[in-house]
Amino acid sequence: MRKGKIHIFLLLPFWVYYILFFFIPLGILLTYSFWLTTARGLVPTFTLENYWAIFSKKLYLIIILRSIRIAFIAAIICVVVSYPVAYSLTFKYKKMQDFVLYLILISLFSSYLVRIYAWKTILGRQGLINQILQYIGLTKEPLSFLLYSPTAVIITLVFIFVPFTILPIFSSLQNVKPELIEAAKDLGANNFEAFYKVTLPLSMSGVVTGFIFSFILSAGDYVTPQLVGGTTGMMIGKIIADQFGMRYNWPFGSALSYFTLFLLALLVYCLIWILKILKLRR
Amino acid sequence: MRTTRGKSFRFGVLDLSTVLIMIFLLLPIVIIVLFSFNPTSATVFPMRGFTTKWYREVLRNEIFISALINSVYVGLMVSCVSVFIGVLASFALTRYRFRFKEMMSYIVLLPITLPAIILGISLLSFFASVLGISRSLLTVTLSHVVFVTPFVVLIMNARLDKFDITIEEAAKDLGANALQTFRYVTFPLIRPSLIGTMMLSFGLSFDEFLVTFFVVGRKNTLPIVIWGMLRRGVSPTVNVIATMVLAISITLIIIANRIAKLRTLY
Amino acid sequence: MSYENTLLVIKGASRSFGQVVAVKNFSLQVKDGEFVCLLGPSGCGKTTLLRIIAGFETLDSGDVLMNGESIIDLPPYRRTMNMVFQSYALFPHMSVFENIAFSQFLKKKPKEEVARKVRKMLQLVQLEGFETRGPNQLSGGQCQRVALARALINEPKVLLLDEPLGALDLKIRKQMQIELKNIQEKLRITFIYVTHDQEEALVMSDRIVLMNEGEIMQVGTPKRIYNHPNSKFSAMFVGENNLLKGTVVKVNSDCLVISVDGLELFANRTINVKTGDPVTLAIRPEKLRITGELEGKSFGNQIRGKMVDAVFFGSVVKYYLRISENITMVAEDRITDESNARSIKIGDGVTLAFTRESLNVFPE
Repeated sequence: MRKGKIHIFLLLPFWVYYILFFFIPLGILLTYSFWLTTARGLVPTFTLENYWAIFSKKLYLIIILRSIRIAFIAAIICVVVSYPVAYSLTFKYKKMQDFVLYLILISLFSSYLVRIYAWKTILGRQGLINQILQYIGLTKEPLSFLLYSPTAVIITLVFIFVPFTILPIFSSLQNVKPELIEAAKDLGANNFEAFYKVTLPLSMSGVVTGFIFSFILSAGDYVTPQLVGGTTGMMIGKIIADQFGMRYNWPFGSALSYFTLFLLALLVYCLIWILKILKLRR
Repeated sequence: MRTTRGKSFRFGVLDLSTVLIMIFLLLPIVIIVLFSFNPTSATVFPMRGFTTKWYREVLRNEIFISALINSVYVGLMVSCVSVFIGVLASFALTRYRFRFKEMMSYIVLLPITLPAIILGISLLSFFASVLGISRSLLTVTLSHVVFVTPFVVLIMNARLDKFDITIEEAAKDLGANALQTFRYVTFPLIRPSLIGTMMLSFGLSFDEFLVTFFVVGRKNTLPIVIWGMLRRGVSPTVNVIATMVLAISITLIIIANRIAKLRTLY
Repeated sequence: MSYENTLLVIKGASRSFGQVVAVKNFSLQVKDGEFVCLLGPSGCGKTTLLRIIAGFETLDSGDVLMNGESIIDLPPYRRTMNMVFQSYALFPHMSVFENIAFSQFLKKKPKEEVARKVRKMLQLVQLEGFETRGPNQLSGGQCQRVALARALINEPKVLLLDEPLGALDLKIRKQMQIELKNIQEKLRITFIYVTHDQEEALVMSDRIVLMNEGEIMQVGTPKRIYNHPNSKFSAMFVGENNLLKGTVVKVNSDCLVISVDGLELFANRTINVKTGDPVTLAIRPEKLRITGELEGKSFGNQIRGKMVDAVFFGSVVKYYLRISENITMVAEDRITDESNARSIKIGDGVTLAFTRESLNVFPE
């Protein structure tokens, strides 16, 4: 580790770029949320009207809460589903580790849009699941709730974002040396206790990172609900996107964004706080 | 197969769930690839035969070809710019001590914890109102760099944290000046990670839709074209495009592994 | 020490990191061809000092001179010395040949000459035939030989070694100690060798610089440091010592009478003290003799004790002897022949005898 002024030059490109293309745009968006849209166009002013408008119709609140609920469930499933994979990759399938990681990377690198669309073909009325169910005689009619429902949205979101939870959990599990688990068992812990007292706390940072990633990515997704969600699976991202698209109400869209962002940040903060209290984190 | 500690292998709940999840991850991809050869245009099970006609159609499609070229162009630009910014920042974060360093390492990660849609609309507002520039491939490139760079920093930090600084000192001790040390020692050792980050940057940019949607202009990138196709009702050409993209990414990953082999002094 | 063949001079060097003082007003002169060990516990500043000499650390104050000229402003690559790192610091992406040839490659020496020199170096460190191997195909000992060859090919005036054998296991370490010493004697290059292993320092060096908390505690030949430690720290750090606390009761012209827990001991008058001063006494276990009552008289000091324990170490036996309520001393006895091993049992009363010279006295 060295001291000196060189780090300033190394960080200069980063700061210039991020002030220009990250912080200023976010500031502008915030400014917009206090402006007004009238028939003649945008009016620069300072008003909280856009924020009050969110509460004016029940619909917005319902959709915001639904988005958060869907994202939360999807993120929980992501973590629950990722842990066994990351765990067995680390401790059980050492030889196949690289191969399986490649498969996960491939799923990450195949087109995002087409993967969503692929689920549409799996879940649809004449999709794979319905075909199989009918073939083995479990159902007579195709199940229609599979597609265009919150369930469909959750399944698809999990599929898309699971790689984002597997990878951080996998990397945090690299800190757990097999000797530690053996030591715990040697000292009298059973399998479950060894896992709960040693493995889980040591890999908690990966779990939290993975959860936050999949939660926020899911909450902001506006393509998945549009393709597989139908009206009951509609999420806030679509509403915001519409304000910047055909509705052309940027100030309201901005206010909606910041309000949602505030709720998401609050939730993530509470989660970390709860974990700290439970002393699960580290 | 045996477990790491010599106990005999049992196919338990853990293994079952792992296999199921891997199937869950790979099934849709397999379906995409299979149906790119399906002769009928409806994606209905089971498949009705085998054909390559959709491939021929895609390769003749000018919209697709130009979108592909645009996406490659943006991807290359993005990977160059973000690797440049990200690698310098990572050197600062791993090699130097300074005030607010810890805060800095969180700030770097902010753009990827922000929902893509908000990044997209804020950049749209910025380009439209402040800069007053019209949307184009340039605005797409500028936007992509914002969320790609944090990934570069993350990967390079992991590499540079493990980098044994005494190796550089040994080089200086043996008569290498700063430039020679970088050229013959530091650079060859971080080259695999550099290539890795360039590939990842390219991949992230190449596939990006959520931000691109707001900042793209008249020249479209590939995901925008795919989106258009999906909205107009599906044709099997979408499967073909996805399969081709997948083939390209797998090839890139393999090539990256090969290049990573190191060259030395003589 | 004469100035004639002085190669390296360190003058009042000081360096601190924040609140921590790593090196404090350190001065030393090193002769051409000398083998100097910087010995001290971890964190005593010896490695920092070595890195200052190599040019990896800056000085807060003081100077480093080479052949009379200050080198403190020169970057590491301009200094005519080379370093062997504890972690070896071999270039992992280069073969053994390329590692050793690195400095010559930078100097743009012709290929044939480089190849010849590398061969010579490999011969010196006994690694012929390893040219094309990579560092990860070598054992720890082999890595260290490559690191040594890589530093020596540059024909440095001074070779700096930072605990080079620290990561090796005992057997290879002992073997490498002898080899390093032989190479140094053959090439007549000045070695500055950092170690925390006092045995290593005793075996290898011409001169030991004993350090603690950034300061020099004692400088001298291994013999001098071993036999005549100048402080409690020296006595404790180098080899094993029985430390006793006592008070001066009488100062004669050539000898001191010191009272230790009621016992009267005689020591040579090596320091200036007056009656009543508290002092610390040190005596090595092998200087303590277990004798009969009569022969003990000729030693100058004689005390009675009771054996509480005996521990077998292979070539020696250590006896733990209680000489008073609060004091237990260790005596070491070399076993030359199984048949002459002493037949004292735990609980037996014994007589301990030692000479005045073997008792070192330092002020408290």
